[in-house]
Amino acid sequence: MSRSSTSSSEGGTARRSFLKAVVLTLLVLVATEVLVARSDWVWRAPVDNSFTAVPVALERVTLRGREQPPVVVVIGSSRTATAISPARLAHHLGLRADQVLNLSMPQTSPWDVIWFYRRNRDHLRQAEVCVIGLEEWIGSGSWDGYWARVIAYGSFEEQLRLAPVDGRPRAWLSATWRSYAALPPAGIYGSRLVMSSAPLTYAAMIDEEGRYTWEGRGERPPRTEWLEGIPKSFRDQGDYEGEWVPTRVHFDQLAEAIRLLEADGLKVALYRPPLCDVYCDLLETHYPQAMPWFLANVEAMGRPAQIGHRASEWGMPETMFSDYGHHTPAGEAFLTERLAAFLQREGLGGPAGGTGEERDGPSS
Amino acid sequence: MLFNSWQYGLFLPLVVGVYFCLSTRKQNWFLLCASYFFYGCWDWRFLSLIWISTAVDFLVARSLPSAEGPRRRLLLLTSVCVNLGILGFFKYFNFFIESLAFLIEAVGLEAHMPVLRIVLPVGISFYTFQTMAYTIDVYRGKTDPCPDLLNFALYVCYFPQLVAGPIERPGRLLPQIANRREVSLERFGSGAVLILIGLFRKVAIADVAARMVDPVFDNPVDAGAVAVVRATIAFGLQIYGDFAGYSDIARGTSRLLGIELMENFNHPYFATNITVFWRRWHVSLSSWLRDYLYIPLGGNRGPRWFVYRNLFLTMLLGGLWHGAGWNFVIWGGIHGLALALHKLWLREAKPPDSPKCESAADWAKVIVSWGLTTIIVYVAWVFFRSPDWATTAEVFRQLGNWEASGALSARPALGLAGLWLMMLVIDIPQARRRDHLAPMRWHWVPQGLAYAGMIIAILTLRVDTDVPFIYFQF
Repeated sequence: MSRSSTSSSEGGTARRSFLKAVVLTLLVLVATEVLVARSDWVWRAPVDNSFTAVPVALERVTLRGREQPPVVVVIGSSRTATAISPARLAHHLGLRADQVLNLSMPQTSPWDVIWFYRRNRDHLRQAEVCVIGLEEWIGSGSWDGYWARVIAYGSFEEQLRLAPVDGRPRAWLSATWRSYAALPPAGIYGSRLVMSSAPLTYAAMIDEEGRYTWEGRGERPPRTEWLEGIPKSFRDQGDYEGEWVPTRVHFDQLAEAIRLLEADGLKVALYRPPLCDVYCDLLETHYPQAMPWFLANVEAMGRPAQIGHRASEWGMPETMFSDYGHHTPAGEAFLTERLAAFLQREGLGGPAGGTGEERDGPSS
Repeated sequence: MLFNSWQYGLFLPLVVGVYFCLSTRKQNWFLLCASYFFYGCWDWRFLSLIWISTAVDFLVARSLPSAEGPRRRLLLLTSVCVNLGILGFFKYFNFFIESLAFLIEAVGLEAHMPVLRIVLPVGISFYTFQTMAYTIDVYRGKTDPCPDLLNFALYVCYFPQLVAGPIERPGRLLPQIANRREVSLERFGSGAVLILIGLFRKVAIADVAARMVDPVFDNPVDAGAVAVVRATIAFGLQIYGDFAGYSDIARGTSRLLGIELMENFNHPYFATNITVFWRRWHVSLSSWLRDYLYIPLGGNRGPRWFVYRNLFLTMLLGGLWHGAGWNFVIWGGIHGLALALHKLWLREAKPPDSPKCESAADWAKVIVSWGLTTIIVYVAWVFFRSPDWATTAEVFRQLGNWEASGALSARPALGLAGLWLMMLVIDIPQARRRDHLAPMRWHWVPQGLAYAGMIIAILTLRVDTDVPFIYFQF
C-alpha cells in the first residue's frame, strides 16, 4: 500500500471517529437535558442565597405540615422580610403566632406571588388576607431573582413572555435549552458540598419566625458601604424615561395576582416599607418621575395600601436600618406595629389586637 | 465582545457562515470589517489608533526597499517611534509621571505632575508589537513589504488574535491572508475542538480558580499562610487556564476561517527549568522579545556577563510590557534573574526540552529541578497578581501566620486539587502526544464523552457574568 493511500485511509478513519464522537456528544447532551435540566430538583438545592431554593425552604419549613391554616400571609421582597415580624404582627392583631406568615423572598416581584400561590394553593387559599410587598423596582437589582424563578418555576410561555427586556437572547436561550440555566445551580450545590463544612439544609435558610434569613440581618455595616452601593445600582439600571417598561410588567402581574387571590376569597392589601432618606434623595434625583408613577399605579389598583417612602416622614431614625432599605430589629418592631394598625383600620386580619395606634403613613 | 460571551456565540457563526460564501478577496474585505466591528464593540474611538499604526507601517515598509543608509534607519525609527509612542502614551504615561514624582519627592522636592485620566485601549500591546515586527522584518530583509493595504490592514487587526495575541509574525500570517484558504472537515472540526478546550480552560477552570484567588489578594490581612499559598497556587492555575484558554479559542476560531495561528502555550508547568518554561509560556511574546530585543541587545554574543545582562534586561522590559506597574517590572526581574542564573549554571550547554529519565537518580534530579522552577514561578506570580506593594508585602507577611482560623480545612484544598486534575486531564495527553488536538486521536467513545464532559462542565461551573480575560488588560 502506498504512503498516500495509507494516510488517506487514516484520515478517513479519523474523520469517521470524530463524527461518531460528535454524535455521542450530542446524545449525552440530550440525555442531560432530559434527565437533569428538565427535572425540578436542580432548582431546589438548598444553597444559601439561592433565589430558587428560598421559596422551596419556605414551602417545606414554614408552610407545609401546619395544623391550622394561616389568617394573614405577607409576600414581598427582602425589604418586607426585614420589615415585618410575623409573630409581632400576630400579637398586634390578636392572633396566634402561627396564624401569620411572612413568606417574603429575595428580589420578589408580583409574579412570584402568582406562581407561589398557584403552587401552594391548597395551603394558602384558606387565609383571609394577603399583604403583597411592593418595590419601585428601580435600582434594586430585582431582576436576577425574579428571572431565576421565572426560568425555574414558570411555564414555557411565561419564560418567553416575561424575559427581561435587556437580556432576551440569554433568557430565551435558557427557556429553550434548559441545561444552560439549570446546570449552574447544580454546580453551586456540588461545589458547596465539596467546599463547605456546614450542612446544607432548608431549615438553615429559615429563621425562628419562619422567614427566610436575609443575609445582612443582625449586621449594620458602615454607612459608607451601603451608600456607595446605591448610585451604582441606579446606574446599572440605565436611564429612567417616564414609563419604565419593566415596572409596567410588574404592575400587570400585580393586577393578575390580585385577581387570582380575590377569586379564592382572599382580601389583598399592598405594602411598601419606607426607605432611608438618602436613598429617596438619590431615587428622586436619578428618576424624578419614578415615585409619582409608582404611586399612581398603586392607586389605580384600588386596594388598601400602606406605602412608605421617606423614613424621616415616618419618624424612623437611620439606626432602624441595616442598610438603605432593610431593617434592624428596632425598625422591624416599629414597622410591624404600623402595619398592624393599618390592617385593623382597614378591617383586615381577624380580631382587633389593640395596638392602640390607628395611624397610617407618616407620623407628621 | 468577549470570546466567552453569548454575543461572540452569535458573532462567530455569522462571520463563518458569510465568510464561506465569498471569494478570497471579498473574504478579506469581510474579515477586515468584522475585525473592526469586533474591536469597535469595546470602544470604536480607539480604532483610530489601529488605523494610524496600519497606515504608518504600511507606508514605511513600502518605502524601505528603495531607501538607503540613514534614510532607511530614519524610516524604521519613524515606525518604532509612532508605535511605541502610542503604546507609551496610552499605557505608560501615568506610570512614568507617578514614578518621576515619587523620585522627586524622595529627594525632598515638591512635585506637581499632571496625571491624565487615560483609558487603556484593549489589545494595544499586542497589535503594536505585531506591526513593529513587520516593519523590522522588512528592514532586515526577512520579509517583503506587503503590496496590498487590505491584506496588511487585516494582518494588523485580524480579530481572533487582535486583543490578546498570539503576536503573529508577518512571514507566517501575511501569506495566509494573501492566498486562498483551504478548509476541510478535519480542519473545521479541529477548530471547534480547540474552541471547546479553550472555553473549558477559561470558564470551567480559570474562572472557578479565581474565586479562590480574589478574596485573598483583595484582602490578605489575617488570611493565614495556608490560604495565601492556596490562593497563589490557584492563581497559577487561573492565569494559565485564562490565557492558554484564550489562545486556544483564538487558534480554533482562526482555523474555522482557514488561517493557522501559532501555538502560544506548550504545557509550561511541566517545564523542569526556567529556560524551558519560557520556551513554553506565552511563546509568541517570548520569541518576539528574543528576536526583537534580546538579540539586538547582543543576545548570546560577547562576554558572559553581557549575556546575563541582556537576559535580565529583556525580561525586565518583558515584565513592563505586561503592565504599567513596578510589580510587573519585579515579576520580569525575578524571571530575568532566574534565567541568568540558569544560564550561569549551564555554561554552554543547551537544556533539553524534555529531560531523559532512565534511572532513579535522573528522576530525582528532574523532580528537584521541577520543584525549584515551580517555586520561582509561583513566587513571581505573587508580584504579578498583587495590585500594589502593600498587598504584596502583606501576602508574604501572611506566610508566617499559621494561626488563621480554618486555615487547615481540607475542603478548599480538595476543590483546588479537583481543578488541577481537570487541567491535567487535558494537558497530559496533549504533552505526551505533543499535539494540542490529542483528544481527536482518541477512540470515539472517550472522545465523545470528553467533549460532552467539557460542555457540561462549562455549563455547570460558569458564573453568571462573562469574566474578562486577564490579558485583555495588557
